[in-house]
Amino acid sequence: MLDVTNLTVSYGAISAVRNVSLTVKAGEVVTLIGANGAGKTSIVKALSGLVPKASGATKFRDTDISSLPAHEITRLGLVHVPEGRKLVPSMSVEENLICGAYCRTDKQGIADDLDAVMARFPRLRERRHQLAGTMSGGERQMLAIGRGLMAKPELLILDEPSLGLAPLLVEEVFNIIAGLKQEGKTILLIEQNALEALNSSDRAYVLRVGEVVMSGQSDKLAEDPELRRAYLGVN
Amino acid sequence: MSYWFTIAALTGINVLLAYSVYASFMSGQVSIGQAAFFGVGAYVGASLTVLGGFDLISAVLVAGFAGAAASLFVGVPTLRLKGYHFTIATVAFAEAVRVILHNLKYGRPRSSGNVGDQWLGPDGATGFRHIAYLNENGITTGQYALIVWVIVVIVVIGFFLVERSRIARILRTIEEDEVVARAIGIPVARYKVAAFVCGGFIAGMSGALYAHLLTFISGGDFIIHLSTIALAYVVIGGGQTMWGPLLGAILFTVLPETLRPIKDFRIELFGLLIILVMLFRPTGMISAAAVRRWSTPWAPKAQRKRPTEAF
Repeated sequence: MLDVTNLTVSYGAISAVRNVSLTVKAGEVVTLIGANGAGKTSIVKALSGLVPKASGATKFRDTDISSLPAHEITRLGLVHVPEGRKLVPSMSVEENLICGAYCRTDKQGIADDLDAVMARFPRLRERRHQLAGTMSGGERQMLAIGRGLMAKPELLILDEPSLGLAPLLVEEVFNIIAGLKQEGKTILLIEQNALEALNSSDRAYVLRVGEVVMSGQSDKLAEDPELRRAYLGVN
Repeated sequence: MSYWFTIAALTGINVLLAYSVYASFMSGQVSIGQAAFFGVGAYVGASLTVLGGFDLISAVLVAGFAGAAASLFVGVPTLRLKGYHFTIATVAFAEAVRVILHNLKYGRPRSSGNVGDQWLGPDGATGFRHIAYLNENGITTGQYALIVWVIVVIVVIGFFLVERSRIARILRTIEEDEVVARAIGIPVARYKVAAFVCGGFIAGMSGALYAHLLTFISGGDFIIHLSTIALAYVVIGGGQTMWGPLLGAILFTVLPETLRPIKDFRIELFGLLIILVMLFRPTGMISAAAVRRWSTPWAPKAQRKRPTEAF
């Protein structure tokens, strides 16, 4: 579904990502793990067109998206839920969700999906008229994921959904991801929480200072002694 | 009475100017260059009736398109800039336009007129005199005020409808967070330019109406002071809903006039009012929350929890 070959992302003279190649197949949950500054967010920002790609070829569902602007990439079904639970705080929960369906014109489909999202997150239904800015961190993350789903994504990119949440809520976020996986959704997940990310994904890429240093089946990587030492904090 | 009709017409013109700022304000872009589009509109509108033989309404509409064209010219390259950089670019453009208007000379000689006053059309630093359309066509100041306010009402209705549409939600998303807007799939640049060009159109119309009311304009009328006042109407009236610019422009045109008896102190009082509003109502006099409260008076007031209830 997504084919990235030799992607390089530069900010001025500094290259944050160098020659990264990765693939995501339909129905897979793939995770990118790595420490701060490894280039995880830069990769997905480049994929969704939020920052320009310096070089490399990116194909999404057989379309070359290497130089498409962000709004056209979203239209193709690659939907990015940015880091930091970014919402429009002065709009209600419902308005935020409807905004997520910006690219769609099927009114009935949007209404159905709004119902589906609210059924998935009952908390959002309770608070549908509340302003997004007044919600807690966990609720905001649900709303951000819900808004991503409203765009009817073919590939959903979640950037650090568990960042800054209480442990109980982190667990809930990973439950949500497990639920989406069971329904056959294709997800590219960015995480610092390597253990949880490996547990809830099929395959993983490990990044270090802008390069892929390891990749493979998530369950195999979770057993890898070197990775365990470097990222999972166990000996 | 004619004096108050003049004030009424001027108020309408300022309301339009306030809405021209508000249009791009909705997408989070602060322009301090509306005087440029206002000035372009004034010169184009006046030239059309004085030199081109146009009727007033067509001249005002063409002036609107001239303002829109000018804002498109500024908007396309500069709206890629973010926040303050865009604002500074609009200031710079307005200065350039002012200098150009100040040096513009075209037109034809007047058959009558005193020595030194024999030119029809803009005459450099002397300005553009004899915009006598209202006088020549027997339009009284009262009738003119009515024409201005019909246009104001149309524009207000336009904003009322936009504010209740999908477009308003899109603009608010862009205003709050461009990254979110782009991730959702909104073509951000296109909406920002469109909002700015709408503002340019309204400013252009407003400028043409101003030229015909004053009958004499010059580059010196379109200084940065005008742009800042226009922005102040929006910020002080309230930039969250369309009611703010309306209230701000009306209040700040009428108030200084009614305060004429206290002479020099009125400007100080005016400044004090601005400071007080900014201190106690940073969202402007009319906030979005206030509009929600007034539009649903039957809704129960939000109860503040007493400390004991928390346990």
